[in-house]
Amino acid sequence: MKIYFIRNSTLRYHVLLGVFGFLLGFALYCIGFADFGEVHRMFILDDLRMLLSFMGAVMLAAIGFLIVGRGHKIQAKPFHKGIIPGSSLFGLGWAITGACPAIAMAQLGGGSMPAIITALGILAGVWIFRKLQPRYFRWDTGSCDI
Amino acid sequence: MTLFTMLFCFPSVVLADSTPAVLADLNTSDSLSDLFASLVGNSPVYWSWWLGAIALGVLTVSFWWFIRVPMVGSSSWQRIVDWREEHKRHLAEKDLHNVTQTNLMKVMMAETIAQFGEASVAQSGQSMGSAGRHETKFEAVKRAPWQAHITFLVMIGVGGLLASISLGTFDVRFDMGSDFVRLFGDGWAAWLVLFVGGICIGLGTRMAGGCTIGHGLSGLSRFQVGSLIGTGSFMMAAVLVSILLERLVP
Repeated sequence: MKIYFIRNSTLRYHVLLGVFGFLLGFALYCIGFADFGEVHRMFILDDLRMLLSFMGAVMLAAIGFLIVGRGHKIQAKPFHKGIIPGSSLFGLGWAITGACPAIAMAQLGGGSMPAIITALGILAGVWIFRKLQPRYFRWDTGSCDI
Repeated sequence: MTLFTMLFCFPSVVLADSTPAVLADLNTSDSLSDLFASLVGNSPVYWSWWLGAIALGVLTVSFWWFIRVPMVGSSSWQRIVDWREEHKRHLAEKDLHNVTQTNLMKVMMAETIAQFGEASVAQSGQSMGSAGRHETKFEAVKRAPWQAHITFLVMIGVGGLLASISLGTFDVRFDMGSDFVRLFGDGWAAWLVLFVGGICIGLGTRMAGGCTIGHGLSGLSRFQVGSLIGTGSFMMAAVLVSILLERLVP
């Protein structure tokens, strides 16, 4: 199913990604993921509300994919050797900044100006990966190509 | 605006303190439900857990339904950082659009004649004639242009802005809240922590090939092994680091 009334595929991608970005930012902020205090209380296992939100979302999406995704070939995410070190590094970053790549922008929207620094850090981190990948890592990250 | 308020603010207001109040009134010796209430009790500001779960779950599936690619987060940053390669690729794809099998054959034939002379293609020349009937157009793989990822990230910010206004928490401030100040202060060290943390996020998510969205939401819900290990790793690392921070900071 596509937005057929927009013929130009470039514009269609802008509209689709824009709408989903808006809804995602709205939902993430309203759940509380953009609040460092809330995220920190989740990680010290003091307040599991957001963890339950996350798990519930995964379960709902699993049911959804089982129903509407049946018979479709969706990109697999197999295990590769970058997953454990990379994810651990990301966990460290999430714990100390309270942001994941999408949440940094939601934090900025909510008025926390320091999130600009986090976003610049993310850009720097991705740039460092770009430099390291062809020389040292060379593994297929299995990232979704959109 | 009224519709907007009804849609998004109404549920959170109504549901904000329904469960804890009921549990508090009961005041039973049922410690398990008390524990549950204290751990996942609704926040006075934010959505209750199940409303958030429905929102994120529906978004994850509908993103794939409309775009036919699982929802991503960190890939957007990658595409933006790689903008120069993206631009080159875009130009190459534009040229590819004009390539048909006959055109390609003609070019290859001219090249062969230039290299080996007319005689070398004299016999095979007959079979080439049929290529024109089944004209195959070479098509580039459909991908979002990299600028659309800027739109995506900016609109996440706009979504956060409208959400904070609707929840009444919008406030331009230059620290990350009381917990962050307690852990890292609010001087230059805090800014350094944010920058280094940002580098960890950017490098780590790209090494793992996914973030909370790519591995956590859209990978885990499709029972992918890599995503399960990835989500477990970053959750465990974040919990360990946070508990360690709490221990270290008096």
